[in-house]
Amino acid sequence: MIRVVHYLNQFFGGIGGEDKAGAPLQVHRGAVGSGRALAALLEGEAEIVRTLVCGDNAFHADPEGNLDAALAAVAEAGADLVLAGPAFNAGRYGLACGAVGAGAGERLGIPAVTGLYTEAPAVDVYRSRVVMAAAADSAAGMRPALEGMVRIGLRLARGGGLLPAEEDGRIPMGYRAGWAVRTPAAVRALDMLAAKLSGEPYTSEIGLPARAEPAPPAPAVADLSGAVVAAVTEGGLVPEGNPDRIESSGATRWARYPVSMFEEGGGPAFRSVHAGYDTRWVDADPNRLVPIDALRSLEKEGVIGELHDHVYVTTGTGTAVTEAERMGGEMARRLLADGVQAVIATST
Amino acid sequence: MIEKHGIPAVLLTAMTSMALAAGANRIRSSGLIPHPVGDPDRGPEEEAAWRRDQVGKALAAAAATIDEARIFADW
Repeated sequence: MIRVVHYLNQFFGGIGGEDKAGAPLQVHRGAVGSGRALAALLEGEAEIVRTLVCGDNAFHADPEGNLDAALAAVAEAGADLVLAGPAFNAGRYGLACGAVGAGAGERLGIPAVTGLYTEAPAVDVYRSRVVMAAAADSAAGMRPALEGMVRIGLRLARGGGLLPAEEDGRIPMGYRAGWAVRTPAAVRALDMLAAKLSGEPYTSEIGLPARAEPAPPAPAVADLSGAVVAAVTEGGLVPEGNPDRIESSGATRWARYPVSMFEEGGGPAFRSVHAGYDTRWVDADPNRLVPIDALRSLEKEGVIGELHDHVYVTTGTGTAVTEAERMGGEMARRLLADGVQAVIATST
Repeated sequence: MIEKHGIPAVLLTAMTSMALAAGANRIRSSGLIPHPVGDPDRGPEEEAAWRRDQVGKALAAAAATIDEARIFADW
C-alpha cells in the first residue's frame, strides 16, 4: 500500500476560516477534512497516513521552520507520496503547497503533486519544482482536481514518469522532454497544414511562451526633420570579441555601441553572435542589420534631424519575455534620457 | 517596451506576423530573415539605395498616428 502524506490549510483541514489563519502546523494521523474525499479516491491503492494542517498566515510567518517541521513529519511517516491541496487559485495556500511539494521532492526524494489553477501565484514560483495537476479556480472543481492529483501521484509513487503536460492534465513545468514518435516531423507538419486548410482543429507541437503585455502605440513623431533617431536591433551585432558578453541565445544582457565604431575604419569589426539566423550576410556588411548608412544619408538629406550617436543591441532568440521586457524598458529609459524621439528597430 | 515609454519605434523585419504577435506596434515588412535591411543580390550601390528607401518608408511609419498595432504596407 502506498503511503501518502496530505497537506491542507486551516480551511480545508476543517479548523476554520480566515479567523483561524494563524493556526500552527498540526500533524494528524489519517485523513482529515477534504482529505476524506481524497482517501475515498485512493482506496485500495494508497492510504493517507498523515495529514498536515497549517494556517495560511502561520505557514508564511515562518516558512523555513514550518517547511522543516512538515518535511520531518513526512519523513517520519515513511511516505511514498506527498499530495498538497488542491489550492485552486489561492495565494498563500498555493505557495505553502508549492513549498511543501518542492521540499519533499528536493530534500527527501519523495514524489509530490499539488493541484493549482493555471494563473495561481504559486504557479510562476514553483512550476519547475513541483508537479501541478491543473485545477479549476475554486473549490467547485475539487473532485476533478483530486482525481488529477491521484492519477499522476500514484503513477509517480510507483516509479512511473510524467506524460506530456496536456495528456497528464498538468500545468507545464517549463522544460521539454524528448520521446520517440512514429510519424516523422514532415508528415506531422503536413497533416497539421491539411487540417488548417480544411478548417479542422489541430494542435501545434510548440507551446508559445507567455505573451508580452501589449503596449498602446506611442504618439507619432511630430517633426521628423527635427527628430533624433536611434537604431536598435535584436540581431546580436557586437564588436569582435563580444566585450559585453551578450548571449547568443536566451539573452539577459544588452549593450550600446557608438555609431562611430561602425563608421570609422580601423576599429574592431562587428559580427553577429545571434544563434537564430545565418549571420554571414550581416557579418559581411552590418548595415544589412543596422542601417547606419541609410540613416546617415537621410540625416544629410534633412529627412531626419539627427542620427543618435549610439546603436542599441541585444540578442532576440530564445529570450524570455520577462527578460526582453526588462531590457526593453532599460533601453527605453536610456533613449529617453538621451532625447531620442524615434527608433528604427530591426529584427531577424 | 520602447513604444510603451512613448517613443515611436518602427520594426523592420521579414517576419511581420511574429512581430505583431510579440507586441510590436509599428511594423514594416523588409528584406529577408537574415538581413532585414539588406539585399545581397543587388550591387552595393543599388543595395544602399534600396536600404535608404526602406528606412525612409519606416520613418514615415514613425510619423504616422495609429490607434492599434499595424503592419505598414508600401504606399
